[in-house]
Amino acid sequence: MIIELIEFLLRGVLLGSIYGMLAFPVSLLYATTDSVDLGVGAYAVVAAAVAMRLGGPAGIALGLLAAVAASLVVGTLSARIRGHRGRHADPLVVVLATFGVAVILESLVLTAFGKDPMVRQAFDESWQWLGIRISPQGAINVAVALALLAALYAWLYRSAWGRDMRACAASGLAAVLAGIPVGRIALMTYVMGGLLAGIAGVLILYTTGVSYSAGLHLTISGFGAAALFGLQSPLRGFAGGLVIGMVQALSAGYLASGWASAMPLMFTLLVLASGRANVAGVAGGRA
Amino acid sequence: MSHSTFTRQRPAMILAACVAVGTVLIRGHAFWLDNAIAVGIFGLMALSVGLAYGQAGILSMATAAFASVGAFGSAIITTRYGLSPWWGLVPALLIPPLLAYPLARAVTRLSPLPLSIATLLLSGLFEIAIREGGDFTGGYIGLSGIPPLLDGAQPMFLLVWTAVLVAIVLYANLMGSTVGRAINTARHDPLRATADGVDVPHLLAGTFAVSASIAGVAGWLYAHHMSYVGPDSLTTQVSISVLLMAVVGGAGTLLGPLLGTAVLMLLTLYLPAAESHGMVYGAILLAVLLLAPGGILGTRWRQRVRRPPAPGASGDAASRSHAPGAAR
Amino acid sequence: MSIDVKRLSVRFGGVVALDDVSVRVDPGRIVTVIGPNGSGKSTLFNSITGLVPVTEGTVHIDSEDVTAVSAHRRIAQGLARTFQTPRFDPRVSVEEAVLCGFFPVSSAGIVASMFRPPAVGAQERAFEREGTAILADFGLEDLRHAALGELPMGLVRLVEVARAVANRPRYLLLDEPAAGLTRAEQMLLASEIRRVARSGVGVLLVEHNFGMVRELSDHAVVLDRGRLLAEGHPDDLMRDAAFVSTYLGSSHARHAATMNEESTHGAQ
Repeated sequence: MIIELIEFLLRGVLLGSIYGMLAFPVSLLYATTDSVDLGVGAYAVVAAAVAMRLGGPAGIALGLLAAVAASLVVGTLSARIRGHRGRHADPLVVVLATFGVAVILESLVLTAFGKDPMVRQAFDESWQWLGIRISPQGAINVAVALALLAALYAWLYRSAWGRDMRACAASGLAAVLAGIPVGRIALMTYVMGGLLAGIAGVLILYTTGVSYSAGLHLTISGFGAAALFGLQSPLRGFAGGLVIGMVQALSAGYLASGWASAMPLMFTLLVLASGRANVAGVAGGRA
Repeated sequence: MSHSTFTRQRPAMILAACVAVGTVLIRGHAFWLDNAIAVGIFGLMALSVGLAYGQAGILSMATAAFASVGAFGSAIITTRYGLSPWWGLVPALLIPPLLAYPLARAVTRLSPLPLSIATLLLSGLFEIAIREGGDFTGGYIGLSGIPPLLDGAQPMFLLVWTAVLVAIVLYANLMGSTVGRAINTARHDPLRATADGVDVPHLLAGTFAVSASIAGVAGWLYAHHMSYVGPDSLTTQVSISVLLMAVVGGAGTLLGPLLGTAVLMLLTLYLPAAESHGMVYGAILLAVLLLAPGGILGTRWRQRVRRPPAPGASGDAASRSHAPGAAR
Repeated sequence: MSIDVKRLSVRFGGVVALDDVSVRVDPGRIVTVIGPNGSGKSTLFNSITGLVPVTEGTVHIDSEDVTAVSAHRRIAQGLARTFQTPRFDPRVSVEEAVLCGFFPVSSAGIVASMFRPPAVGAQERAFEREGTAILADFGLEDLRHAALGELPMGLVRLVEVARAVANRPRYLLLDEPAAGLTRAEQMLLASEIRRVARSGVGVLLVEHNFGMVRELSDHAVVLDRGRLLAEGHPDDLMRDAAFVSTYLGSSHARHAATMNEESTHGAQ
């Protein structure tokens, strides 16, 4: 009984670290530009599809490149759209644009790679530790996720670009006034997001696999993970991912299989409804 | 500015004229009748998006989910309980708003983005609920043998487009009224609306509920037209497609969503493969967002051609472009 | 029948924005709240309109305690307000903006507006007629179709006031209406405000511009760092040395003191 529970929780952690990785781009972009890239799931799928088709380390590298290219396109488009609107910018228009690209990417993957699910297995056996089964791929996922988290924080707090990114997150206007190239930082954030999502996609390929239509679900999971503890911080996004992963693993273990995938959705919905992801302040006159 | 009924209902009259002409042109052509019915049904869903997003600023991705409620609601009471299909209109009209209003109230104090995500989540939940509904919703297999509302494609065509016309008339009434102005103010500036005496969360949630109702009616028509409805019928993908259709046509205008639906759906008739639909839709959406964010009907084209922007001729309340981010 | 603010205190997180302030606005009178930046003028304004929560004290509108009532409901109960920086959609026309002001007195909900039964239709037409009348009162009929984004700030302010009085409020609250206006625009605005007050509306004005204050109101309330410093007729305040040194500077205080001496000597 306990063994089973621990297995589920571990599975949840392994699953959750992927969701956490998808949460990085969402929270990073939101913190820096107050916008969301709904294409993160699509980048992951593109990376996975390319890696699947080409195979091996070269395939992985090209897959990541494809994801980065896609996010570069999205970043450029978002900048153009935001540039047009200026003060009357409707943030949802930019979000719609990322959506448009996500739809295009999904269709591209479908056309180029077909509708069959894609999965690769790198390891044949699970490890055993004290009677608990752990998948080696899962362990790699967690390790990569933690490494990325550490790298992200090293970037944000030790590099010049990272410092500029944090400045943009604190106040866009102040950053502009301080001479920080806000546009370039925004673009960089999109591209980093693409890379992170691409890595997640490749890992998913080797874990549970993807199909052309998985993009939307991955995006939702990423957003849900990021929003759980507040959209601003990648660290919290990772924690959110872990929580959602565990919720999903536990419900897959104890509930009818169909409803298992509903649990993370319902959980995130409840969190949103409770107002914890609120970032807009109370509207009031100047006090 | 004349606020007479004539001005306010001009879009409805234009639509009625188009439908009349269309009826004559496609009489007897099964292919075009079928497509026209589809355009009408999805057009209603696009109208639902237009009301929620174009007027109230709620980017809803649950349109097809609400349509599902209408579709399955009606399918269940006709196949399981043997009621006449016309009774199906009742759950289709009434249940979606009962779901939409609380959702919007619960999530509405957040910035608009989390609300959109919440609609996305709701849509996902609905898909799962339908799939896991066992015998009640037909599970993976779906419900078939749904009785038709009318015999034949021609009568159905007229029914669907009458429904669309009614929706346009009611929509125009709403936006040409004091409440309609309040909705637009609430979308643009909730604080300004509060100072106008508007209970913003209540009004926006109410608008969302009405839009869910429209989607429910579309679902009702869908179920009785296709005579089958299953978990893959009205998915999140459909929600996204109709959202794109509404935005391309002009989400803030009355006839825009219908035009967008017609354009995109008819375009896909000439596309080689089903797989490439996404690329075309996505590309058109991007083109629209970059060049004419107000959509086809929501952009002041004459202003784009002339160098100095012309003084804003506000036109009549019904067809004014209140598209989010519309070019001046 | 008045707006009655009794012993209002507002504190947020260690900051005392208002401390034991009482103000009354009677119908037909124009009361001005003045004071330097940070004196709590805007906090007082926003407490009355309901956007800022109150720590202690009460706000009564026509003897009804509204301290816990939400902002939009207070508007429905006869309050109207403008904003320090006008809030408006630049694409909206003057006429449409003023029509927005009728919402509190509209009895139609969403569904009723959709079906537009004869009663709703009649009400909408009535609003249009009254809207036209208000535009005429403010001298804005020629601009009714102009988009707000194309008008100079003075006219936008005027439209905002017209929007505020559309639903015949009993009290009108104006937040620094003269800011950013030319002298001519200020005079125009002042005469409109006087006209509104003459029709029986109680006006509360938050204003920096002492010239405007003297012209418009016969009762001013001076705030300093959240407290009531002085109140009275602006001309009397001009002679109060303490007020003058706080608000206008000490050289003016000496001038005021001299004026007082002369008038005392004159009486002897």
